[in-house]
Amino acid sequence: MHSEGSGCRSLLIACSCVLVAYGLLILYSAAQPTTSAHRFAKQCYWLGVACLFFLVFSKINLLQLRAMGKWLGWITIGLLLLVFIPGFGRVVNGSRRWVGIGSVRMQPSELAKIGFVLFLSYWITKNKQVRQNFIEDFVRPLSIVGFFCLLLLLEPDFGTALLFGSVALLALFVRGMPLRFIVPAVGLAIGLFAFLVYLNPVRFSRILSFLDLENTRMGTGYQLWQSLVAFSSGKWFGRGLGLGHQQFFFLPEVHTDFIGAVLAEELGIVHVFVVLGCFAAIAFCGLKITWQQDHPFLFYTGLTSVCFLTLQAFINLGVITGLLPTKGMALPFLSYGGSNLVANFSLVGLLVNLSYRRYPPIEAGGS
Amino acid sequence: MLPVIKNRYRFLVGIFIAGFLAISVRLFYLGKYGGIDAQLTQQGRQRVQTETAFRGSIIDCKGRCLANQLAVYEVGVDLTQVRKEDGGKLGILADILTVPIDKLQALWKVPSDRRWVPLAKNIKEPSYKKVQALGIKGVYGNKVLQRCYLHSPSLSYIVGFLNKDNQPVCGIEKMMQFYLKGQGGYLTYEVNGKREPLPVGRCKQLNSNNGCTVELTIDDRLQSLIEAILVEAKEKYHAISAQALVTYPYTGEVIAFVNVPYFDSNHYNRYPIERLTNRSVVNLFEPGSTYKSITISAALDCGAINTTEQFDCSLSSAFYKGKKRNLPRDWKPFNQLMRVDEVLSHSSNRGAAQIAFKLGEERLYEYGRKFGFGQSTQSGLEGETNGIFKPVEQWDGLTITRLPMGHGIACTILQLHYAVSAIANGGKLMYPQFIRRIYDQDGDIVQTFEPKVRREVIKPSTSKLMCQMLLSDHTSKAFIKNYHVACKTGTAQKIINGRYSHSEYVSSITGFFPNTNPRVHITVVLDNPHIRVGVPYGSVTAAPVFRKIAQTIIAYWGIEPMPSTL
Repeated sequence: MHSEGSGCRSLLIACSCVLVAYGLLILYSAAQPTTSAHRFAKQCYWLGVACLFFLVFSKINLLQLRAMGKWLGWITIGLLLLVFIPGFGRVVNGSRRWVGIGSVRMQPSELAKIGFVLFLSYWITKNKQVRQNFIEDFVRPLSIVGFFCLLLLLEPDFGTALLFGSVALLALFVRGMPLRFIVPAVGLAIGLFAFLVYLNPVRFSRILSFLDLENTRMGTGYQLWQSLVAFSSGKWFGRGLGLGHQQFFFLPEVHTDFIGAVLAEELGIVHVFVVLGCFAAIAFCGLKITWQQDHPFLFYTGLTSVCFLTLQAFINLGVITGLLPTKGMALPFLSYGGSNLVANFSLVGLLVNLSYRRYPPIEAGGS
Repeated sequence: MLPVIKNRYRFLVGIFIAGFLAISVRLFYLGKYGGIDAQLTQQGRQRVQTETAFRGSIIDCKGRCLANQLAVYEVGVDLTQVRKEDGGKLGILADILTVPIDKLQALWKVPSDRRWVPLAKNIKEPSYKKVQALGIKGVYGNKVLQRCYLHSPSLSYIVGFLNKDNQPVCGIEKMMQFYLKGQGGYLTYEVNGKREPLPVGRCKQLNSNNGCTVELTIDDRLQSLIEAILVEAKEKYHAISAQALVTYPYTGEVIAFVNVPYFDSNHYNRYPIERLTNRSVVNLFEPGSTYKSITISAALDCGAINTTEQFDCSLSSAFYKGKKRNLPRDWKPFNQLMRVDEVLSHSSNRGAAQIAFKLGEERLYEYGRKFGFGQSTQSGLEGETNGIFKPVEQWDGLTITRLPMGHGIACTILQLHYAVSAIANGGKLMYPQFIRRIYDQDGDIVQTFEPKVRREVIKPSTSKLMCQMLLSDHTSKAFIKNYHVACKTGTAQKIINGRYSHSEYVSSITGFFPNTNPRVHITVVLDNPHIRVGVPYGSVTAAPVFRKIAQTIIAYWGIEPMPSTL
């Protein structure tokens, strides 16, 4: 039984470590000379915290956690509300995404991911069966998910809201939500999304600029243009560590959102492929581990964890290569940011936890 | 697990696979085709910053600044930046810049997207500081380096000037362009996204080197004193122009070189173009009697005559090479035999012609060439001419009698002056020298110019003899008691429409003192002077000017009188 999951487990951990190593390397070599060492050190401290979380979540008895039931949801909401506490929440670039004590800053929405994973898995497996009831199986779950998303939108953190929503929808989809509900719902969601985008001209032009890069490269398409310059300048094998130029204030957010572009310029697209491969390995190992779960709660915990990790990588890599409209999204494991690192290692910890398959199978009505 | 979940789970896996494939394809495309031209984009981040070198100064022999660089500001306004609330300060701004206030108010009233409207040029540093202190938004100035000439204006012909494109046009500015211009520097570097220089980018730097300082042999103070004398003389004699050249006879270094009328090189474009030509090296005149000193030193030097030999100056014709030649008339009839020194002091044309007969055509020409006639003095000044000095084959029957008295030959004041200098200094023809030293920006001497001997023309003994013969007596208007002035005057009729004019003359005098080991050599040329009665002989018009200049130099240098030891 153990040997079955151990291959996936090792790969999962190994890939996470490779990704973190890439992240630290690029962080050290590429970030601005004055701040790189500082950020590198900070990220190393956070890596320690993240390992702690990884250990906790890989060892904890998940079924006991499940027993907390609704409290998981309340804790998550509490985390998301932290940023609105005056004096505690920190406003950066017009968004209330951080809370801080002294010089330590963290992003509660990242930790909320863990809570959300557990709560969502608890909640959608609370009832044994899908009853094909419009209110019960469609309106209620969507309202609850919508509430979480609303809290995130209030920060505002559009990207994370989208991520939470997408992950929840994927879980509900797999859970067996009838297609006659889903198709109109997705249509509605796209409509709402389009409307929100339309209301905010900056976002609207961002969407357009990704389609018409040449003409908007000095304006709204600037970030993507600079990212593509990084890719083109790095080519297959890169310019060499520390020799990239795009990080000198050409690329915005080089240490977080666009760290992949710096990787491409300095080490080359070959290494971006390696990173992509690692993400793929994490995704498919995670999916395999999830598939082996008998307990519905554990199944959905695995599923949502994989979705969180993979979707973040998709969005980030899609953005920096120009496949998707420019949207701020950290690249898991690589991007600078303690909370993100903690959240991602916790999610990997959950998957590792599942891979041990130490929970007794439940007999009655397993979904 | 329910089949529906299994199917949907597979569908989810499919989505993931599709996602990874899409990103892989995109990455492959970026790797293979590069997407965009990164090189072009990154080339655009190269910046070149140029640094203009300061042009070197020109200073005189006492270190007075003759020409230097002045930073001035060109003040203008960026109309996109102007604010209405600055309207109150416009009055003061208008006062500082001396522009009409209406113009400023109009600019501030109407909104515009013009980024630069020039308001005033040549604003000096203190005024610009005041403008800055006003703090009017949008008003700023660009620093421009302007050449500024501080010398006495008559020196313009020597110093020269820069044109509007800062290119040297003539004079020392052009001659010494190599040293003066300096070497501009540049700095290329890459910028970061904030357009700040990158510390790690490729960068190339060449520091600018300021131009060297050129020290002239000229004394600007003396120049201006002599300038005043010439201006006065030009007025007094209604002359077209007056020129004076003062040098050290032994070294050929020029102390003063005055041309009247002159122009101000700071505003050269306000003068007619003729005014800008350096008449001292372009205009030719017949030296007249001053040339007799050349003829006689030639005859003495080659032994054709001796000092005791006498010539009959009453003859109106004489035989030369078996042919009877008419002798030119003298300014007053001399019915006597004259020794060489008397021929010279009375300036007898007939005597000079007979001396030339003894000398012969060939040697007369040869010595003339040796003294530098018909050749450029190689002063380096713009447009210097060779003068007219025909070789013997082109002479006609009259030349042998006319050339000795300085007719049929045309020269510049420089040529005449340096030829006579050779008589004064023991027989060496010197090159004119204007530049003494060149200093670099740290004040170290880069180059020193030594006096250069062009050739030895006559023996030192001949020179000594000539210096004694040229000594003026108290009857001369150039005479200065106890200073032993040696000089020779000349008066030449100008050639107007191909004939010798009887109303227009060029009067000249060239002389030096003391007559043994002379310290200074002065030549004065007046073009077309007029006096109330009679011919404006050099002895009447140029000689007093010479004396004034000599007295000025005596006073300026504090030369002690030397009572005659004879």
